[in-house]
Amino acid sequence: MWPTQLYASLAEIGHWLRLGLLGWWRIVHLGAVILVLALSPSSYARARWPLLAQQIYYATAPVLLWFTALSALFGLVLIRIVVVTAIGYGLSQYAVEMVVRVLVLELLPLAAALFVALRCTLGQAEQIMALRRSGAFERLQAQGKDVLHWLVLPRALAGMFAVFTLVAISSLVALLLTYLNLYGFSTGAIDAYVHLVGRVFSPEVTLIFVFKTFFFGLVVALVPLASSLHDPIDSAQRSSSELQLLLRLFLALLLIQLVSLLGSYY
Amino acid sequence: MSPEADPLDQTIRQARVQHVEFKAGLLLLVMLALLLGSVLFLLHARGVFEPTQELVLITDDSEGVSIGMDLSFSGFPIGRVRQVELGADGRVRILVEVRRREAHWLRESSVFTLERGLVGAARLRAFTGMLEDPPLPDAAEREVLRGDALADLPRIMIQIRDLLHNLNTITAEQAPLNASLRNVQRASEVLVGPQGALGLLAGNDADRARLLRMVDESNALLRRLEAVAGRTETLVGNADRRVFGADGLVTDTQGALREAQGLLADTRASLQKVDAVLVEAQAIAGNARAASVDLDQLRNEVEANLRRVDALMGELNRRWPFARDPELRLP
Repeated sequence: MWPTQLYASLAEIGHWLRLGLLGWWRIVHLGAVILVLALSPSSYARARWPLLAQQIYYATAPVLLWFTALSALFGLVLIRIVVVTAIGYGLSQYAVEMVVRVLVLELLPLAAALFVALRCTLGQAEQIMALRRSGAFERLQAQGKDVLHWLVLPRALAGMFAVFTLVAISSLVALLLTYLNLYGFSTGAIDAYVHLVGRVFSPEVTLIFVFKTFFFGLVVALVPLASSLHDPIDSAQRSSSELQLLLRLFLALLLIQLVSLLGSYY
Repeated sequence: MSPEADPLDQTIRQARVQHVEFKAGLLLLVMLALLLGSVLFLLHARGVFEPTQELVLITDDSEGVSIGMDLSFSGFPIGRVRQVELGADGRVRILVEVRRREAHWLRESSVFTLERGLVGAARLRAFTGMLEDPPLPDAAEREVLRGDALADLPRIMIQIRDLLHNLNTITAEQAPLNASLRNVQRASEVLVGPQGALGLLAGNDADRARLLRMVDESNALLRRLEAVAGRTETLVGNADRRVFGADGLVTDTQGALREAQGLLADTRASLQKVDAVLVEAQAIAGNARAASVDLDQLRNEVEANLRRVDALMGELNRRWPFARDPELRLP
């Protein structure tokens, strides 16, 4: 009796495993295609610019102010805690390094990626899904236009751009807030501060930071889009596939964060 | 872009934002500026744009030295480690880039140290005592003095290990301390047992019994002594009465003393009289001395008279035949 059950359960596990691997493979494949498209100059032809501009604006502008304000608030609290603790233990010379490492290098990219995913790219995936339902894909293909090129690439680029912009601006704000917290409005410590920040951003750390931010943007932009391109359209299975999408997104972000930590500190 | 190809995007664009292409372009420009600015800032912060000169520090242990660490002078970073390599002689060569505009702090006589504290990374520091000395040339090689707070740690560890070994020896199963503690425990067991402290002192029952007997005898002795003391007390009472009572010895003695005192007073009066008699006697003696002076004279005269009588008697004797005794007696 039970060998059949075992077989059935094994078959089920194999089925889920295959589905999971297929999902990841689709993401990687889409990523490769999108990267190739993004690197080909024809993607930025005059005809495609309005669509790209629109996506970039909608992906970045609405979240920029909010994210900057929230990250500034959160950063202020963290900077204050770190600075006060460091001074309390007589280790104030390590406060700048600690703040830059914890806040700018680790927390802000992760927060920006999550923020963009929740506010922007998940919505983009919904749009793509709606377009698929309305038959826009078929209409485009009838006109001889590539769906990936016209619909998916602008959104992917917009999502990545949003992540990069948020990381850059919030990092800048965090560095400014750190300076103000440590030295107030005096300009006398700028040289020393620049030197300390420069010491943290050694070539390896900078490289890891850039790569991490890039992959965060890629994952945040591509995972929802890949899901919306390949998931079934009917709403009965939507909820489970949305959960899977979120799970994949968080797993991917976690993996990138882990790899970057390993690279930075081992 | 064909509007009919993407009706949804088209509607969004018409419905909400004007000049979306311009704004997107602005965002792209801002992002580009941020990226370029960050790159330039980091390059500047890493000191890429500053002209530097090289300084080679030589030491025998590169532990604690890392690429990018600062060389500081009076607490200010003036250079950073670019490379750490092993020289041909097996010694460590630390290549330091010193910024040209700070290089004038380093002189021929400058001293370089590599210090390791208990907390934090190692620090490379430069000290210049004589700022008038000639400046340090490019690619100069200098020895590094090491100061390591952790250097004493191995010695301390060895001492701690010795201490722990001693402690182990002391607390071992067969150690004297352990044996003593066991004895103490046995003694305390005896103490709280039925035999008590006496059993501990005596060691065996026979001795303990003897001790108890001794105590009993001592008690009896004490009782007898007490009786003796009672009798002695009575005796002392009697003696007291006899000596210090109304007709006691002391009272009689006091009367005798009073009588002796009267006697002495009388004696003194008698002595005063004797004294007066003596004074008189002295006066008499004075008179007698004066009289004896007269007597001397008188005696001389008498002697002269006697000598004359003698001579007369000799004369008589020669002439008077019946008198044969020539001796003449003085009065």
